[in-house]
Amino acid sequence: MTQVLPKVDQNGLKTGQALTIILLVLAFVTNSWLIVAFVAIAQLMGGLGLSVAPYRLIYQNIVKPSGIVKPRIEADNPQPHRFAMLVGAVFNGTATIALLLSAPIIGWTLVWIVIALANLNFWLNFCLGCWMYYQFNRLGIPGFTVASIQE
Amino acid sequence: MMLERLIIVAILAIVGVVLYQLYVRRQLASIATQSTSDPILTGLRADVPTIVYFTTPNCIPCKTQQQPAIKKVRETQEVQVIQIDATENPDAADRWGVMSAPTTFVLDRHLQPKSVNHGVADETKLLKQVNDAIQIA
Repeated sequence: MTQVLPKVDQNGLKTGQALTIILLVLAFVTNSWLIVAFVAIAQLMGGLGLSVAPYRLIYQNIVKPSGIVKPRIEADNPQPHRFAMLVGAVFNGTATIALLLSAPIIGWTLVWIVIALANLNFWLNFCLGCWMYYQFNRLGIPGFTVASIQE
Repeated sequence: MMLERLIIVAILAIVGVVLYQLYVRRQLASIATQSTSDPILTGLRADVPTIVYFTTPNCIPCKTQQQPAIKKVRETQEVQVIQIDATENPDAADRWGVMSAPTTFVLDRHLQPKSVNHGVADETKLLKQVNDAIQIA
């Protein structure tokens, strides 16, 4: 029996990464903790797989219909990507708290780490959160149940 | 304040691009010094270009994007492909300075590296690099 592989729209992920980079750079330039908080919430909702996650809504209702980006659905596990988004949400959530507590160096450092990792993922397809997920799976850590897709 | 931050962003972006270009140049120069004697390149034909393709078992884009792109290039252009699993052959990954997968190198007929792609390189990009390698050689 042929195994049915899970599918992920890779351009949906790319859109999310691009939005993260743009919004966080905008947050830094305008010195806005609110935008950082918005990205944290968007990543949290995306990481939880909610259908009303802002990035998903933007992709489904604006980016895809506009024709700027066409769907590129490929065999992939969604769980590692969601985990990566949750890691981003933790970083940006902590950054928001740091910015609110007048600790801008900590806050913006965390934000720039997320910007760097999102760039790594966007340009080079290296998803650190996904890599962490698969390492945890190999170590048998509970909750990380999905193994890498085999050839 | 906002202008200062814009300048910081611009400087960081420029520094990032310049550092990446320097890194690529250094990586290609380093490989060029030892590629002809590298064990992974033994027994190759000397009349066609080569793609050296580093992958890992956990690399999803390798399976869903990079391998199909390489397959299409092989259908279009005569090229030999060396596929290396970086987890099984970490020494080769070290020698070639590979830090992420997929990473592809395009070598000319003299086994000199001409291009490197960190991340997925699509069929069009790879084909252009292979054609450039043919013209150089």
